[in-house]
Amino acid sequence: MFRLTALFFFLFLQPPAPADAQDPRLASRLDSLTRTQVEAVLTTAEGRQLPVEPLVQKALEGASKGAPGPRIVAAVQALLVDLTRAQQGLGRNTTADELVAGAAALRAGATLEMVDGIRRTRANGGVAVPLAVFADLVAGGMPVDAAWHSVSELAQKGGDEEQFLELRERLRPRGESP
Amino acid sequence: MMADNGSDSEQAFAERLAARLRQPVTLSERVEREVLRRIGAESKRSPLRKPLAALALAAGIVLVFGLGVLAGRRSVTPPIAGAGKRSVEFVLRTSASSVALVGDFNDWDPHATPLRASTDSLWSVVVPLRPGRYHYTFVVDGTRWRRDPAAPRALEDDFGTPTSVITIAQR
Repeated sequence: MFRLTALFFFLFLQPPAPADAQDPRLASRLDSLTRTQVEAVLTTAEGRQLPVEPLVQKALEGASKGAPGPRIVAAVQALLVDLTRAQQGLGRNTTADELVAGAAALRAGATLEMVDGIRRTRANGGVAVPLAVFADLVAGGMPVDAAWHSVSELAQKGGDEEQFLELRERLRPRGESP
Repeated sequence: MMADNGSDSEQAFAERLAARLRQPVTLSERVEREVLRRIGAESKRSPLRKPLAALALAAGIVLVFGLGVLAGRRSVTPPIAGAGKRSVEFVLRTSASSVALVGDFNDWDPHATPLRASTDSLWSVVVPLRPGRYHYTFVVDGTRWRRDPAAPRALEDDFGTPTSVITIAQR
């Protein structure tokens, strides 16, 4: 009887298993409060079928740069919002790279309609590089409309990924100070 | 890549050079497999016993990478990173005692990817990367954050320090 009771406790009264969102890299780099809040964001991302690795990297970036906990959490939450919006624009059958690029494009000023439009234009090709190039051009100071015109024009011509990267190098302003 | 106190023309030249050097270097998979296969086969034998074979292998490797240089590519170490990865060279010109690369590809660990100095304060490192988009920056002397002047800057500035982005195409 004692053995049965012990077995029962062993099988059913174990501490809860670690959630999937827990990442050992966070444990060693974040304080416990920050880590808990970041892991809550990761759990939300998993529930939405979003990639968690970009969120983990955002947290590690903040830790490496010595940012305070609340700022790290805010940055991770902001990225979650961007990834969620990107998923709305690109659909659920989208790769992690495409979602990350879509998030960058939306933050750069693209609309959901624009993101959806480029997805339709490139039905047989990835959208990660075109969206990333758009974000890079805007980050370099190019107006949103002009950047989008250049990218969508190449997309309609069926440009491949290397051609998009060449377009960015051609249009990217030089002499930016680091 | 940029000199700390260089003139505008030197800066522009350095940026053009860095942009060229940072082009990912790839060889065809067939060539890579053949080179690695021959290296593997050769390592099982003593080169002292087969000096001519060793010499021929060395000449073959030199020829392969020499062709790469003639084709406008910068020769780097053979792609040992595994399928799907491309060797990308990160370069920074700066006066420093140490430079490290941190980014999405190494968990932002300042100890993971140190750069090596060559001449003229030119620091570089080759990193194998899968296709994708990565944020990164340089850490100079363990305290200063420097973004890559030869790469697009990241639009978001969540932590108030400069960050660059690199996009690797699928090919």
